[in-house]
Amino acid sequence: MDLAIGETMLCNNVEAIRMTLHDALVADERVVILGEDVGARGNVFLITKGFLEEFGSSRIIDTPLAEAAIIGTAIGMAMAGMRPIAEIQFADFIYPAFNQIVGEAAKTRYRSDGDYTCPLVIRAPYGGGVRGALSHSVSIEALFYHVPGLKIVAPAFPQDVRGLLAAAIKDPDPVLFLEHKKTYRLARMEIPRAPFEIPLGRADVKRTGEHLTVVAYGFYLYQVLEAAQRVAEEGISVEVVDLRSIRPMDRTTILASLQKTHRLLIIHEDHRFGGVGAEIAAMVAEEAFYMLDAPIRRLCGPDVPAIGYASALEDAYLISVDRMAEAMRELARC
Amino acid sequence: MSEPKDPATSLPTIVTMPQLGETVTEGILVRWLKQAGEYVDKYESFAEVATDKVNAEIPAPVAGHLTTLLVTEGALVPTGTPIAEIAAIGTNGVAPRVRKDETTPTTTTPPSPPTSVAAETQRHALSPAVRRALQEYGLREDEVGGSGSEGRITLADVERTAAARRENVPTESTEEHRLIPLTRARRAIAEHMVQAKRTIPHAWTMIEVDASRLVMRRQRQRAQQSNGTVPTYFHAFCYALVSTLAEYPMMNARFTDEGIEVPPHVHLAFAVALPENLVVPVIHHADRLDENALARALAAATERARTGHLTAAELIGGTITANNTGANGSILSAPIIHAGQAAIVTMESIVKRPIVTADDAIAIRSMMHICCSIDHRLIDGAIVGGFLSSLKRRIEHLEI
Amino acid sequence: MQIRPTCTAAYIHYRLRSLLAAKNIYTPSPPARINASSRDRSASGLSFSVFFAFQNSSLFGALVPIKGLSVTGLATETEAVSHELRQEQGGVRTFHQPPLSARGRLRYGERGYTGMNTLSPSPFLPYSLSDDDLRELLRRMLLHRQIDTRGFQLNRQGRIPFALGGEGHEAIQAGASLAFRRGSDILVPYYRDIGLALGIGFPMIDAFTALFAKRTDRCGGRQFPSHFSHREIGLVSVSSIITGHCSHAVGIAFAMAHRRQQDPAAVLCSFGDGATSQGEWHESLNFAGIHRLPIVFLCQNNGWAISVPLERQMPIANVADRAAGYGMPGVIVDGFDVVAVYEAVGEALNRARNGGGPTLIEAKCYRFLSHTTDDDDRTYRSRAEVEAQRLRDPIPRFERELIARRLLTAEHIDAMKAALWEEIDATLEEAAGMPPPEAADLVRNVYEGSHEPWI
Repeated sequence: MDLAIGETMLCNNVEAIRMTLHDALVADERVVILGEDVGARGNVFLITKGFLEEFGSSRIIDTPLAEAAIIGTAIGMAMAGMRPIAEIQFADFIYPAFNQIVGEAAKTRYRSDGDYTCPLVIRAPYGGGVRGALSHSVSIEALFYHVPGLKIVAPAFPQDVRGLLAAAIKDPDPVLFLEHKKTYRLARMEIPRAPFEIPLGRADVKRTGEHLTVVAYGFYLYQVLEAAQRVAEEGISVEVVDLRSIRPMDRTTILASLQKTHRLLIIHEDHRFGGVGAEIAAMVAEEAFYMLDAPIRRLCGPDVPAIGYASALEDAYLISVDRMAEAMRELARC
Repeated sequence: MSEPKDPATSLPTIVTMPQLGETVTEGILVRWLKQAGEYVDKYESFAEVATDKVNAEIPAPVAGHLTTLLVTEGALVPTGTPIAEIAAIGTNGVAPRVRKDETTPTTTTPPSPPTSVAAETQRHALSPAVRRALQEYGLREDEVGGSGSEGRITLADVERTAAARRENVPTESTEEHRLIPLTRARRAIAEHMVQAKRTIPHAWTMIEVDASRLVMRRQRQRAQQSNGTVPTYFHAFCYALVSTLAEYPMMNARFTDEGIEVPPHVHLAFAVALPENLVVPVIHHADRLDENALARALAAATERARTGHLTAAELIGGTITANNTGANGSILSAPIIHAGQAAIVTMESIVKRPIVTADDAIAIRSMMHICCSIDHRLIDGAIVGGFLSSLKRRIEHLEI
Repeated sequence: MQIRPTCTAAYIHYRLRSLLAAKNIYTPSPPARINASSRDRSASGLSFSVFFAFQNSSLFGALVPIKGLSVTGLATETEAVSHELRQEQGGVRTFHQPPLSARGRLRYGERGYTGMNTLSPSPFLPYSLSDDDLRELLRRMLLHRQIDTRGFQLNRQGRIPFALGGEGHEAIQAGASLAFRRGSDILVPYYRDIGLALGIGFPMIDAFTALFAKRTDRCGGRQFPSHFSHREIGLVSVSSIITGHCSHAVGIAFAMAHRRQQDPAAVLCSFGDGATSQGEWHESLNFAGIHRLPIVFLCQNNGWAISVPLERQMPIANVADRAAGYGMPGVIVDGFDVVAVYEAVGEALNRARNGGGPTLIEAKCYRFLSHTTDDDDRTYRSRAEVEAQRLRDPIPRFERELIARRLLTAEHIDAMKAALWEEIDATLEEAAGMPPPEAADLVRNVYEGSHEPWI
């Protein structure tokens, strides 16, 4: 991936998103941002802080508390040629908008055979680990990645966030841009200041290795890399693939990695049953069966309806670095 | 297998590499004398092992079926390493022997699955990568040791075994090795060649012959002859050879410890290449035959060789061997002397070449090399040189 | 208010009197409903028009007083009656009959008008209709009716699997389509708006390719019939999801306002009575009201959402009553009166175009046929009711009006119908002859690029 050569700056995910949204608002007057509390409050995570003052209330719209209308209106704007970026305050609140996202946005281009399109971005913070309990911790990608016509992106690092958000805004189809809230202010990394895009649908190898491949996305990527470092000291070389994009998904990178390592471990926070890992496992079993030297392993969230509020419950739900390292060891040695 | 098993002996007996000698720490498994699945009696040899000190055949400790061969031929293993498993049947020595044809696989396919329960539980399902690698490398499951959990065979194990095998058995290609069993004839040839090379000090020389007249003569004969059978170049060469031998009887002789045997006759042996091997029929008293007769005799013997009707008498007694290596396009060869003779002469391919004539002009001539290996114990350079020059003169001055 | 007493009321008034006298009014059968058709000049001269509405605010002017009971007195009494009728549950069939006015429409400030007060007379009146406009209105209504008829017939013939018609909606859709400004306004219709679509310029051939689901259909044969899409004429792709399009219409109106384009334009969003129960409908009106967007919400209230009648759909009598909750005027109009609808929609669109904000228009009509060809309305409503409503059919009514105004003769109208039949049938057969979609067409336009979920 060619990056713009020039200044870089130290950024966390919030700053990366803010920078990218700002670039888009400046570059294209069709871009508007709408959602609850995005204007005066500047978003509950302060991502759009200052935007209302700079761009005005016709472009930074505080919507009423009605997710279906937020997305429906955004769909209408997109059909009329604008480039709306709708925000769902927490992914847990997206369910009322399910009708609009799956029944309308995903199907607009297809049902009109290209007469109308829906270049819409829906941003939503997701994921647990912040003591958010039932309604501020959920992962929603499995509900939507099944739907043709939608695109879903879940980057973890500031650079990926910046590049993929820019690409999502330019994308002519509806994109669900998932931001893991625990990564918002987790780490600062050097990223280019000038705008750049990372094409949707491409995974990224964050660490090369020979003994096994770990495929992951979201906050867990930080933990996976730490676990990989730990087992590297024991002589197990782990290749870490950051999925980045859930739909479309990068089969090429996964299979190329498997060709080298022959062992696959999928790690994600979402529930195991029917999660994204299930599709990866099925694809690998279909297309890379003869490459496999060990059964495919998935290390995923438990199949319980929610992450509890008590820290003990949350810790039991989330996967620790130790558990990840142990899974890597087991797979490498079996 | 149809015999009911004695539960007491249902566990397979593991045979390990024996320590053949006090300070011996490792041995090479030279070859298996029995195939996997074959029945062995107690004390029957089933493998050949070589150490620094001694080569030995290992007798089986129990009677039973050789279920698994754990080591490949040629592998170097430390003493005490398991090399085979035998599934014992009945009590030792008293068990009825199962007929070979019931249990021995008649084809060279991988061995039948193990018959004991313990052997089955030890074996794990193979992963797809391992299965494919085994197929690619032409290995069998039992030839690969497992280093995964509970002895599971991993891809790394297969690749390691394949690499080790490649080192032990040098081959031109890294593709699958085929093992062709030795026929008796092949074994005989092998032994003969080894003996000849071992006992006779070979010296080699060659000479270049202008065979233009030979070619012209043959063309004329072909043009004249209507019924098709024309003496070949080789036939002409053999006649020239036999004729020259009269001048140089030492070429026809034989070295023995008692003395040099010079026979009164020439029994000309010549090589005939057959699909599977080489036969060397002998024309007895070739010196008594004129050219046509010799040609006819050579042709007839060749035909008999090809159809497999040579008698044993026709295969012995040769005093010198002639070989038409040029028939396959060879222009030089270094033949091995037939044991019991002193020389072998080959006729190489006739090739048109530009040469410098006597008056320093360039001309195109049909040139032919004649190569000769001699037993240097009784033939020196002068003799073979003279012999070859004389042979050359004969061919170059043939009457057309 | 102008009254046109074209009939005398005798029989029903007589019935009414006995009803009032009894005061415990409920008699399930024969139905206690008071329902009658229109200006039926029977031989006895005792036909009349009476209209009941639950909110009892629209009964006046149409009754000719008999036997001493004055109009106002009757009105007061019938208010009480309707209130009591409303208390009873089940079995009582009541109808939301629109009041009869000069053009069948309530003007601002008149009794029964709900919603915000605006200036009266409205500064946003549409342009007046010429004679050609009136004839065009009839033509559009006839076209709508005839295409619907053919659709149903094709289905009953077995040539197409499915059709839905808007019989009864012709006046609303013809009137609204005339008020629509081509080239700038945007129409966000629902699935029964074939008349509206044709009225704003949707080609007839495309209507039939959609019926037959041909490859040349504008949507590639992917959608149900009547789920049109035509970007050039400003017709937004129709979705089967009820009310899904209302928030899209709001978004489009926002984009219009945001752009501040040269030609002021508005969005016309059309839906049925059932749609107004959806949460998203309320969210859409809410949003539009907050931002005073240039949008007109047109509710074509035909009294039925498949088999669910209005009183099961909402606790109020008029959809337009809800408008106040969203900060916009609510207008009730007689959906069988094409000119009234034209005036109402035109006025609202003009208001929207000129920055006056949104309007909710409720055009009351009736659905004469089943919901679609897959529905059988005999299972949930009586033939008598349908036949009674048939007498209010807007097309014969308007025909009579045009004949009375000497704009057309009966022969003209027959010729018009015949010409339309010819055109329709020719187009139909042309569409029927086109090729169906191919298997390779399946994966087109999932995304802009490849449809694959894997890269």
